[in-house]
Amino acid sequence: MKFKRAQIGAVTFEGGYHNYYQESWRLLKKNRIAMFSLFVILALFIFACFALWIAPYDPNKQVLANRLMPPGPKHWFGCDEFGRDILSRCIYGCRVSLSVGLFSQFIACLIGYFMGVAAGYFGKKTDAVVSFLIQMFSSIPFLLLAMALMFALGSGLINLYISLGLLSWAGTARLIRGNVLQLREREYIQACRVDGGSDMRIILRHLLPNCIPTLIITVTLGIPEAILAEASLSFLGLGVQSPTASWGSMIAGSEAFIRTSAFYSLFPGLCIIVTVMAFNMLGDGLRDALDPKLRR
Amino acid sequence: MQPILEVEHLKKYYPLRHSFLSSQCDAVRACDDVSFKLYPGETLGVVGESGCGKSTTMKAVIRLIEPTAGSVILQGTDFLSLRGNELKQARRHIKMIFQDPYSSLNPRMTVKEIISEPLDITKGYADREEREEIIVHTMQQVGLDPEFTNRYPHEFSGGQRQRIGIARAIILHPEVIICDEPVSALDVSIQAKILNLLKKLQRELGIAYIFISHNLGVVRNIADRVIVMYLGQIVEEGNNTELFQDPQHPYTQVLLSSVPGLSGGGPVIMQGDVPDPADPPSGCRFHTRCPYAAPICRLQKPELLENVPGHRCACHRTAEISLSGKAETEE
Amino acid sequence: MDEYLLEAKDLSVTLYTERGELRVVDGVSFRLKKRETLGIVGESGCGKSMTANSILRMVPAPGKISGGQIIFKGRDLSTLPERKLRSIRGKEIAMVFQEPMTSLNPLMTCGRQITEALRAHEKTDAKQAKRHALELIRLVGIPMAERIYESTPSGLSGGMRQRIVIAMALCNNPDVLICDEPTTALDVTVQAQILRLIDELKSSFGSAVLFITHDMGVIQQMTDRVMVMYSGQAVEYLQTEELFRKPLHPYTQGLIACIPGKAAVGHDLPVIKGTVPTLYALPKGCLFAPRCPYATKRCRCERPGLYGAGRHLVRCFQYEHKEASNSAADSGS
Repeated sequence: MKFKRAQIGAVTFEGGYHNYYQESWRLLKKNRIAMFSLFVILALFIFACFALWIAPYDPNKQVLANRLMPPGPKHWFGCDEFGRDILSRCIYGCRVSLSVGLFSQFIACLIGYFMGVAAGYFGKKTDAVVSFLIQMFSSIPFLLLAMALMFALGSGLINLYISLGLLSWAGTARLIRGNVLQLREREYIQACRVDGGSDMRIILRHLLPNCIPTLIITVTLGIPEAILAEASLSFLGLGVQSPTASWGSMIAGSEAFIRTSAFYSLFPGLCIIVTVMAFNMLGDGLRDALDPKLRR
Repeated sequence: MQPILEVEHLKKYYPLRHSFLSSQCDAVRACDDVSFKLYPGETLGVVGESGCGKSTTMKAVIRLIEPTAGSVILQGTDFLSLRGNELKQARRHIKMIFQDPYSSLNPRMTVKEIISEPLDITKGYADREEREEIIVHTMQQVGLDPEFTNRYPHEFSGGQRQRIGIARAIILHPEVIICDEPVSALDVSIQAKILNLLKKLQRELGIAYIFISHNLGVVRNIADRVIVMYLGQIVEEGNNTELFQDPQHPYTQVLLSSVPGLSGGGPVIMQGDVPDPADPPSGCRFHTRCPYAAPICRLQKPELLENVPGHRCACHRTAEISLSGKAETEE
Repeated sequence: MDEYLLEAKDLSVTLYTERGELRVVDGVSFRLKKRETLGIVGESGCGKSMTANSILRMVPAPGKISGGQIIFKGRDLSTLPERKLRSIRGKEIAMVFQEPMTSLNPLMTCGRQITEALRAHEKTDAKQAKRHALELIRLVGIPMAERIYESTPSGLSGGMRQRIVIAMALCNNPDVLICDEPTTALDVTVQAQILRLIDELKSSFGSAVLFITHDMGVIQQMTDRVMVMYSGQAVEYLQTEELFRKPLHPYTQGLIACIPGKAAVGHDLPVIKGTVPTLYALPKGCLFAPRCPYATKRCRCERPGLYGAGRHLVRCFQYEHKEASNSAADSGS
């Protein structure tokens, strides 16, 4: 009630860390799996950015003589049914996947934060409306809504960002709402109100910095979901337009040849698995490093 | 002398719906018809058990929660009717220090950002240089090394954190500061330092404090006048010495005797807990636990009367019972 | 009957953190007789709660008992196998914590929790256990025992919860009751009730009580003897009345002086300068030397032992060659 001070908490640490994020980084560095994932993700980003120079061939160049050529010294990952180099297409597909993950989560994050803050901070009717929206968005089957949106907006990369962003804000908003409900009662928020601080000041200067850890974690864990969703949509032909290479559309294309040329579906599949796992493991590591409850 | 803060008939009810369908609305009367005055440069102690409404009342005074009814006159202006920018400006004059030195400072802000926030909100400085100067000066006033401006709150001990909270409260030189249990979470030796600091600032800046505390020893030390609250109402008000040495209300007496080491005699043990504030007892709210309760106490609500000048008390039987030597229980 | 029920000999507790080893309890010794109440007093972080927890080997995670013995009825609790210790916990030695909710299950009825505590150590049938539990609930001063028996702790007030915890602690007639700040979270009027209750139960059950608190008023009211702790060390052992009359250690003197209720109204309180040292960087000499008004060169480089005669022991060089009781007069100033 009045006195809740953990016994160990009373031990003060001297000469330690300064900043919350410096300390989080220190903790994250100790987590080998997370650091390895981070390394993988950085490598993927380099592949995506410098695809033009890294990819050994033009991903869209058709060499019919190489149709369904198995992996070999010239084409490490083999070639697809049009004789395009699968390795190059995987590297270019990386661009689509990462950009979809990042941009859609950025949109989701923005909508989610402001919706969550509105619900948690203003409460009452705003909360009722936003909570209803959250429930609605999370109760409609994901793929169904995604398909509907893509039909409405038309396929294409930017539409893909928007529709996936619109789809995944609900989870972020729910977490932020809970976060804000807790923070709202903190005495420093009250102190700011006593000083005459406006709602905007409280939302941006006090709530946002305290919600950032939550946002970082939801974004990191949301990216793999978006990547998987993109793959599913591309597989269904609703994602990126051909001939743009995307891991999902590559798997879709390989479907017919899965018995005869397993490598064709194997490599884009592996790309998805590696990327998704890296983001998930990094997300877990970040959660451990950022969660104040696990701190001493 | 003109009071700097005048609170009249302040009420804060929290509506309480019994069931979803019933239209009947009850309310928790967290603060029920509270009136008091605060004079410049004095310290008004507010004591009572948890749930007696002492914090709620003061939060309503400072408009951290909007009161249901009543008036708050701050420096001659009606504080409750102010809106927008006027309210923002008026808030310069009344500040608050919070109980928990751990949750009252934003962990993501540096000490400088925390202390300067009131200054930034009211734009209370001419240029950057003056702003720096004010911050450094305020930090020195509360005994913080200005070198620590860019540190984060978690690097400080409880006492130092409370100093940061105090610095933030005094930076605009307010006339009134509401201290909500400012030393309850601190160890005795640190508590003493913070109390001394508050007294020093009062002497230097002429601030009037409303000092909420459940620790009667602390109130005894710092307050000039004391208000005792029970279930949302003031039951007794008097100056420090009178109230502690010659309490008029039976509740005050029980409260004082309960503090180990404060009074000479043993404690008067009171039965039961504080009644549910949603359903307070009829008549005098204390009658269910009062050792002197008479039939009239159950029926009629006692008025807060000024029997002795400067000493108000709400009890039907003040005149009959001699409280300093607890005896004569006519039962 | 000078037999000691519980005896701690040179007890040490160390926290093994990633930043190094911290001695949170450093060579603390005390003895507890039947029907006696020993108070442990000190500021937060001084190791008083750790000392209490270590008696039943309940030191939280990175901590461990790193030395010393805890002798209870001829057995050393610090080396006793966990299985045997479990039969002592809650039966022969019981604990009451500051926050009653930490020891209560919010979803289980109070009655069930008491009967379970009863039946964990004694084989009684359900009916008998219930009768016993109801008796205990009445004993700790709760009216309408049947109603409380059926209700869950979440619906009760803090004082009521603490009574239930005390009822649970007492259900097996423990020989030693360890109270770790049992009233800190409660209002003064409720505190008065709980303190009275503990006192009454002590005399009727004949238990020994180890009472940990930071409140000098509570110490004055409840205890026979006091151990003052500072930064993990016991700095003074004395009778309770002496604590207020003539404390010898400069730290104890400072602690007594800064209690706000005792000082003159409106005046500044005397303070102990400086702050408690962190356990990562303890002073080389006497732990209190950097804050001590009487500190000498020697105090800053050498750790003092415990000096004095009989039951009044002080960890201060001032009393090294004097008999503690005589030197009181010239140290008071």
